[in-house]
Parts: sequence; structure tokens; C-alpha cells
Amino acid sequence: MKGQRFSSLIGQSLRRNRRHFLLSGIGVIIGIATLFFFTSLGEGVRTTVLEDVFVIDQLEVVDPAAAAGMRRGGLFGGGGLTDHTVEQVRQIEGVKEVYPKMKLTFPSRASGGEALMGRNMGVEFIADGIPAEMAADDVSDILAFRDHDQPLSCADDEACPDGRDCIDGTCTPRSCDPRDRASEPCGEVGFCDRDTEICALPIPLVISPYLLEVYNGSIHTALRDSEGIGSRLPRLTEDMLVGFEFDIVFGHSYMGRSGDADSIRHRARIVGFSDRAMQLGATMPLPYVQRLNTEFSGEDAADHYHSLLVDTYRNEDVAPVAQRIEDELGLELSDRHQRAQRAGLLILLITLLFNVIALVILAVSALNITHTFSMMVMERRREIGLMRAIGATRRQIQALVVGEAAVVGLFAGAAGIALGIGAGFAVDAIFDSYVGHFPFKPDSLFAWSPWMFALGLTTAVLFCLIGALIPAVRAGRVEPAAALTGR
Amino acid sequence: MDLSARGLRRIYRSGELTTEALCGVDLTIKSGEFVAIVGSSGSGKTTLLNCLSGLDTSFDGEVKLGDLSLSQMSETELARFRHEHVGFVFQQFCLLDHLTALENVILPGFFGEGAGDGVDPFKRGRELLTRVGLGDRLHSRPPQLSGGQKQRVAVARSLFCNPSIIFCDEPTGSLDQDTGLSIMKLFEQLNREDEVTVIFVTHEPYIADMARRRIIVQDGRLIEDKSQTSVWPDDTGDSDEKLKEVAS
Repeated sequence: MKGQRFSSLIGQSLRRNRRHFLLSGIGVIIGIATLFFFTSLGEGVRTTVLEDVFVIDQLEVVDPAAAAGMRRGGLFGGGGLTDHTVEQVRQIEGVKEVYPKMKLTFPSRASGGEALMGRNMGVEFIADGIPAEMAADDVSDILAFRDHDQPLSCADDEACPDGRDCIDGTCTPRSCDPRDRASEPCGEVGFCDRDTEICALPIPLVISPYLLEVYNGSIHTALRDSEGIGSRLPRLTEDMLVGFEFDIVFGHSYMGRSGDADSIRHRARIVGFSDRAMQLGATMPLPYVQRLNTEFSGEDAADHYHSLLVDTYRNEDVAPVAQRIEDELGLELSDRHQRAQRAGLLILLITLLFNVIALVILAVSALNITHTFSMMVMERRREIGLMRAIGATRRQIQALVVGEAAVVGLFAGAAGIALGIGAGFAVDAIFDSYVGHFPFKPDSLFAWSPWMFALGLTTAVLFCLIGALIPAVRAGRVEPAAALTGR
Repeated sequence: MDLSARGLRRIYRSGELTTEALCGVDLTIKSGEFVAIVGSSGSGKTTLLNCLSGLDTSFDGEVKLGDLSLSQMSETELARFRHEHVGFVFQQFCLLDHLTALENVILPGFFGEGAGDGVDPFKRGRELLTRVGLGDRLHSRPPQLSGGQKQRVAVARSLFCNPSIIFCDEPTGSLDQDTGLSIMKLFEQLNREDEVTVIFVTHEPYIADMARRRIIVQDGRLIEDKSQTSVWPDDTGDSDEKLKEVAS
């Protein structure tokens, strides 16, 4: 049978029996809508949890001795994470890049915020340092995320940042008067350091989106109806915070102070939000932390990293790389990675559970299709007998029934997907209207990917074909003489 | 090609009950014959037609068209045989109500590699419907047609693949006398002009009189097989009056 004539025959049959086909397709539509709804919901929640809450594509390695709180180099302590360790991890197959992270190892505090909060506030300042290239893509401020205290070579003044002049091929800070607020010799982002009276650039900081979510979702929510200053705290956005400046006092905090070294006051500026930033604190370019740790904690503190972020070439490389890091180098993975894995597994299991329900619905609808198609084969027995009489083979009759089922499956699948998407939009609208803000509240609970559409259509067709299998075999067995004589 | 049956037996089984519908029939029908199979209800005439046409192959004995033995054919070969060599016309017309007259006629073209291939099926369908006098009802659906018109559509459909034999099971059984006569005239014309073998089953004697050979079946046996002078006066003349006379 030629394809065009075959599809024409199927089309004629579908038009004639559209009510039957619609009824048999309803179960499939509901099943596919359920499957599509829960698959996209699971994927959406999984994406939020694993990309925003627990970032699973970052493998963070820690020194087990440091993690256990032992003193580095002691009897039970490890050797710490050094440049040598970084090189060792880099050698592992599948590792694309290794980024060392170092925390400030002395007390500090931050103060400021009048522009945002209405009055200045002070908090303990916790920070770490990462290589500048790790957060380069996340910076949205005119002040770049790099070490601005590093001497820059130049050809002319144009090549130097704000507040610096090109002198003898090097960008050199200008002298300034901290009391002179009119001439602005230090440029748009520079400031006049009141201790040294020369122009300086703020320390660039990146903040974790997690911190913003915690503030908006918990602190702001808890305090907004309170009495006192807390009720005036605004809800913050990334746009409000990028470019925000405040002062930091290194070596002296509200809780304690560093040994002999004098504290240092410096200005800092938020330049962007990055998943690579520490979750409860701020992150600056690594050289700042190394210099400050040397100043306040000694040379040794600047040589040892607190953790390493490991990037792999592919997601499939994460597990074997993690295994080798633990087995061969005796290092540990941060518990964030393990929590992410557990969360991912939990979401997967819940999604699978709902998908099993969807498959049960589809299985029931396949039985319904078997029933409907069997009825139709019985009703059309004479017609099938005629087709057999004028030359149709058993296979052609079977193909006709199966073809009708496939078309029903395609239409039911498409309708089910549309229904699933519609339900998703409705749930999103209800969620948005009736559920208050909380940390990491997503814009949509659903994530729709092309493979889900393919899955929906394929599953619908598959179950329709399964349902139509027995009726198709029965249709092929119709004997023309018996069918035409009504025997 | 001649159609022959040797020792043809057909037994129907229903639980413990067995009915011998055909009891060793021997028969040869030559190409181009115009044959009536006559008998009372339950005599086995339709069973004989079904066995001869390849609609029913659950028989003992042998049925051959030329050198082709139906009992040795696979299901697929039988389907091809029915598609290429034979046409069918049934008492209840067996048209598909959701298709137009034209679509019903070209329905055999949907299956197999037959004579319909290589030709525009719609063009051939239109020609056939015009030939049976329905050139102006191409797009009418069966419910919009009279009984005679439906049977003409069925005749046109039976001709779609240029068959060498047309099998008709009570072709006039659902028609009034005048319409039945006009259908029989159509078969006679096909037999005479196209040399198509026509084998029809009937229980009405005046319809049987129109054949050139009459086979009488009773209790699954051929009790009479004889040539007869057809009521058709000549090959070209109008026989309507004589037909009506015979019928009355």
C-alpha cells in the first residue's frame, strides 16, 4: 500500500470515527498531561535546588584535617591545601581547572549602608578570596573584579584607571586631599584614602545570590512588621547592591582583634553577584586576601588555601574525579556537594513517583484504547471483510488499525502536552499570587525542555500502539467470507 | 483462464455440530462464460461462490484458476489473487458510507500492486462510474444514492483492477425488479463486450434465465449443470421488453 493512499485511508477513518477516537484519546491526554506536568515540575525544582541552592556543578575540595579543626602540620593534621595540591588535582583526568579559595584568617568588620538603609550599620566581616577569572563573567560594575593594588604598566594616562597617572611607564596613584570633596581627583570609582592621602580604588567584592535570598526571604520578611529600624530595612535587589560601597576595618572587629598588627581601614565596592562567592560573607580577588593574611597572620597563612573549586570537562566526570580526589589525595569534598547529591536524589525519586502515577493512568488508558479499538473492529468487521475481499492483506489491515492508533496517539500526546503546560502556567500563577516570598523562590516552578515534548509524544504514541495491538491482530484475522456473509 | 473445482468440500463446524455445505463438487467454468448458480436458501450456492473466488479457502479439494491453485496459496498470495484477478459484487452493495462514490470505486487501488497502478486512480474511477451511468454522481455518498445506483457503484468498483472474473452474490437481491434487470443488463454487457467471466448466485429463476449457463445446487451438490439459451436476443439489440416479459 502506498504511503499517501494509506494515510488517506487513515484520515478518512479518523474523520468518520472521530467521536470514538476522541473518547479513547481522553485517557491518553490526561496521562500525558500528568507525565508532562510532573516531569517539568521535577526538572524545574531540581534546577532551582541544584543550580541556585546547592550548586552541584562545583566540586569543592577541603583538607580533612582543616575541616576537622585540627592545627595544620600537627600530629594528626594534613599538609593543608597548597599550590602543590592544586597542581596534583589539576593532573587528574577530567579536571578542567582548579581554583583555590582562601579565607581571611583574622577578625574584620564592615560599616556603612546609609544610602541603602537610611543609617550606617556595622557587622562582622567575613570574606574569602578567589582567582579573579572565576568571577569575571559575573561582574556588572565599572570597577573590574581584579587586584587593583597590583602595579600596572602603561604607555599614557589613558591606560590607567581612575585616580592614577602614568609615570615612568607605571600607573601611579595621585595625591589627594581627603577634605576636598569638590575636585574629585580620584575619578568616578576611586576615593581619597584619608591615611595616605593618595587616590585608591575600592576592593572589589562579589556576593553570593544565596546571601541576597537569605536576606530578602528571611531577615527582611521577619523584620518588616517589627518595631524599630528593622521595619525600615528595604527589600534588596542585585541592581540596588551593585556599586554599593562601604568601609572595612581589617584586623579589628566587634568580636575581637588581631595580635600586634595595626588595623587597616579600606573601602570596598560590590561589583556583582556570583555563585562562586562564599554564601555567608563576601568574596574578593585572591591577592588581597593573601596580602592581608600575610600582614595579620603571617607568611604561612598566605600559602595555604582553605578549599579548592574543581571544574570538570563534563558532568559525567564529576563522580570519578571526586572519587580520585578522595582516594588518591586523601582530601574531602565539602558537605555541600553531598547535600546537593542527596537533594537531587530526593527530587528525582519524587518525580519518578509521580511519573509512575502518570504511567498507571496511561496504562489504564491503553486498556481503554484496547476496548474502544476492539469495539470499532467489531463494528467495522464487514468493512474489513470488504477490504480483504478486494485485495488487502492481513498486514495491511493491521497496519491500518495501528496507523489509526498512532495518529490518535500523536494528537492525544500534543493535546496532553498543551494541557500539561496550561496546568503549569495555572500553578505558577497561583503560586505567584498566594505564596509569599522565600529564599530562592523561582519565577516558575517548571522547566520545559525539548526532550520532554519528545517524551510526551513518544509515550502517547507508544501507549496507543500497545492498546491497539490486540485489536489490530483481531482485525487482521477477520475472514472475508465470514465477515461479508455475516457468519 | 478457466476456473475449475475438483472434489470441493466445505464443512462448517460449530461446537459439536458439523454441517457439510459442499459435498465434493466438480466444476469447470470457461473464460468468458456467463453463469448462474441457483439454489434455495442453505443449498450451498454462496459457499460455492466464496470457495471459487478465494474468499474462503477452508475447503478440501482443489480450486484452480488456470494453473493457479487457490488451496496452495499463502494469505498474501490469496490477497494478491483477489486484487488482480477477481471482482466482487454483493447483495448488500458493501459500500463505505463515509466515502464518495468515486472514492468507493478507487478503494481497491489502496491495496496491492494491481491494474490500478500507473494510472491516475481518480481518472479511472470517473471513467468506470460514467460507464455504469453515474458520471453525474461522482461525489455522492452511498446514503444519497438509490439501491440501483449503489449497485452500479459496486459494479464499477469490481472493475477497477480489470478482473478476469466477476463474482456476484445475489446482485439483484436488494433491488426492485426493474432495477435488478438493469443491473443484469450491465453484467451481460460487460460479459459480452469485455469478455469478463461473470458468475452470479441467485435464487430467483427469472434472473437465472438471463445466464448462458445454469448450475443448480442442492444440499451441497450440483444437481444440474446445463447451458441455456439466454434471454438476450442478440449482442446489440435492446432486450428490455423481452426481459420484462421473462420477469413477469
